[in-house]
Amino acid sequence: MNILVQNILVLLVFAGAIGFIVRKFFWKPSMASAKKKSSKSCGNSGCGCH
Amino acid sequence: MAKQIKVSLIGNPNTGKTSVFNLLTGLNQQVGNYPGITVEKKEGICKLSRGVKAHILDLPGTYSLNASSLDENVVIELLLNKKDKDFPDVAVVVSDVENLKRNLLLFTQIKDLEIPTILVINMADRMNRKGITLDIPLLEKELNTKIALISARKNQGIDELKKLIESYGSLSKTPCVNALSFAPEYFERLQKAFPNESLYKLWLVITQDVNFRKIDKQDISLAPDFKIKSESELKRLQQKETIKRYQFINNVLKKGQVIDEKAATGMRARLDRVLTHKFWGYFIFFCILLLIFQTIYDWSSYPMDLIDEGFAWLSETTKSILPEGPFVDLITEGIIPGLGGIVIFIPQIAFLFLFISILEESGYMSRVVFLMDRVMRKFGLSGKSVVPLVSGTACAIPAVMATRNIENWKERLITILVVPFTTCSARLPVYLIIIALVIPDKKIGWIFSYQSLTLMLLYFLGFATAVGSAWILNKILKIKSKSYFVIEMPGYKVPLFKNVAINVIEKTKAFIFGAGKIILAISIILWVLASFGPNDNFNNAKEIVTEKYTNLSEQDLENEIASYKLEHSFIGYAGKAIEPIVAPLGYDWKIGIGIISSFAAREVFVGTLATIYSVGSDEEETIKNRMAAEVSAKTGEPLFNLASGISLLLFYAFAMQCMSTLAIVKRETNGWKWPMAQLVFMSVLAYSISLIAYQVLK
Repeated sequence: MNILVQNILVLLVFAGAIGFIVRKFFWKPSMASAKKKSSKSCGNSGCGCH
Repeated sequence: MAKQIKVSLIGNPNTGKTSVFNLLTGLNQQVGNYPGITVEKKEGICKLSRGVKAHILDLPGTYSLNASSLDENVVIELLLNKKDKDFPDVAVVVSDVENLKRNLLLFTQIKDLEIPTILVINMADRMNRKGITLDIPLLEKELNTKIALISARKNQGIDELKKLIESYGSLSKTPCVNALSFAPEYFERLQKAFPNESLYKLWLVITQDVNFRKIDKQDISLAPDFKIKSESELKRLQQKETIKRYQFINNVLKKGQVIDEKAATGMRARLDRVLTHKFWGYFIFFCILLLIFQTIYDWSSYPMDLIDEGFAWLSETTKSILPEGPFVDLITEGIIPGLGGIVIFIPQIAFLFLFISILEESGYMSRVVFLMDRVMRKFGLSGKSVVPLVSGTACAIPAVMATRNIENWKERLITILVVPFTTCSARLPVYLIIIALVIPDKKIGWIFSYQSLTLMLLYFLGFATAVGSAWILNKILKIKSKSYFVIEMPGYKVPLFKNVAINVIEKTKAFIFGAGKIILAISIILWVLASFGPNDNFNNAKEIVTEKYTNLSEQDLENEIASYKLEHSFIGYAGKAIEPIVAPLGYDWKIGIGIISSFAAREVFVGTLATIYSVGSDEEETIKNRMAAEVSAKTGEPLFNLASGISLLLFYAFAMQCMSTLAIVKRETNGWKWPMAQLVFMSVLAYSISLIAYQVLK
């Protein structure tokens, strides 16, 4: 396989891994918390969902 | 499309609800979470006759509809919200034949919501042994329902239950207890204001602090006529409700149940006396713990070695088949070892949950929780914190998940925050290599060596720090929470293989597909950062090293090039950048890289050092020799001495150093506040203690 193609594949996998981590830890939680604010609490004060 | 009946499976904990669910659905089940919260949601499909299917939702175990935990809120939310997609056509309340009186409290509450309800009396196989006789037709008449007398253990009565589910349309919706009797004047007014609503449902909407979604709670509870004056007034009315319900249940059972008291006790009482004894209880528990750890480490080592060898073989074979290049290197040095790093933990996690499931299924775990509660409560923890703390010695991830059954939020939060202090198995490779390097291989007496005692001390240190931190957190956290302790003491029974197996598979799957994906992604990122560099020093490493070292053998030259490349890779520069921060602890930039990379998982530290010190294989002895020969560039003395070694051990004992644990804590606490506080606290503590240790010992 051409080295250039391999480098591109590495870059794609790396970008995928970074994207996954960002989505997992930063993007998704912020979206979820924005959504959650409209709903009421679960009944446990301080549990983070109020 | 064939008709699908929506069934909610409800019951007190330890009634065999999960066994009934497993029998009804077989392997047609899936596990997820309820939206927005971390309570496990189990659902499955049960095939009935004539192509009819039932969608079975296994709701979390609850003692009543007066919620005190996240799990119980889920049950109430669903039963009060007709617009919920899972709102049941029929509720199946599972009860235990030995605890029918207490289990019927929940049954009467659900029946009063005017939902068609079937009563399942489980563990019928124990009736003879326990001297229990039931008049089922009479009970059906008194409770105004249909009853399925079953034995989930012996797979008896399930077909009858399926028939009852299928004919749910004929079930009566008449309430058992008239809510008017709780507080006649109050409920009469309520009924006049809302004539078309179930009285008991209105009462729950007013009194329960849960998310009612479409139900407009404000309309009811904020109307001045129906506002409960005070918390004590509310409690008084709830107590009155409970008393009225038990009066009803007592009357029903007086007619339909006969118990021979002599037969009902016996063996169980004798076992309880020993297992909850203030000396023998603890002694037996610690013997069982010892046995579990011994077997976890012993038994796991065989499959773990096989997995390790398997992935090494896969990596080598892939490398030999595919053409050379960076992508193939990523597969063979990044992705395959990354996958191996996930799969290798499966045996330990599976064994741990195998033992926990057996202890839970047998009924022993409830005795342990009861036994430990008196000790743990002094430190702001619950008796139920024992399970997560014990699980934490294998891995903090399942341990944090195991806190879900702690009802009190403050106790649950404290447990989540301190669990990562317990020595997990990922710390073990780091401990073993550092101890072997810096602690003399001498014996005290005939048996104990300094090295094994150091390892034991590290385990003790982890547990003591967890308990000590819990005590401090209990003092400083200003979270209002009710603290009480109610624990079910189920009968002793031989664990059901099917239940144990399903639990082990579910927990293992949760680890692989939850934490596993994160570990794999970080392995890929670390590999790329260690395999590429920002300038010509990295790109021309071969020429530079060949020019510099003319007399090296081919192997040594290759090692030297790898080392030079790593030093000038992105991660190498990151290590150099943090060197001023880690130098006061006695570490150089290479150890700094090890610390950064081991943030993915602690055991990555050993593998990273293997690469850094130009060792082809990560076999411990080779790394150990190379590490022992490493000399500090500044002092010219061995880099790994007693001071830096102890400092490193203490750093790993206290530091968070685990991205997956942070991820799971974030998930369990619904936000970044607590995992970040935990990360900062543990990192500062680890840094401070390591600094003090190094500066004192050097």
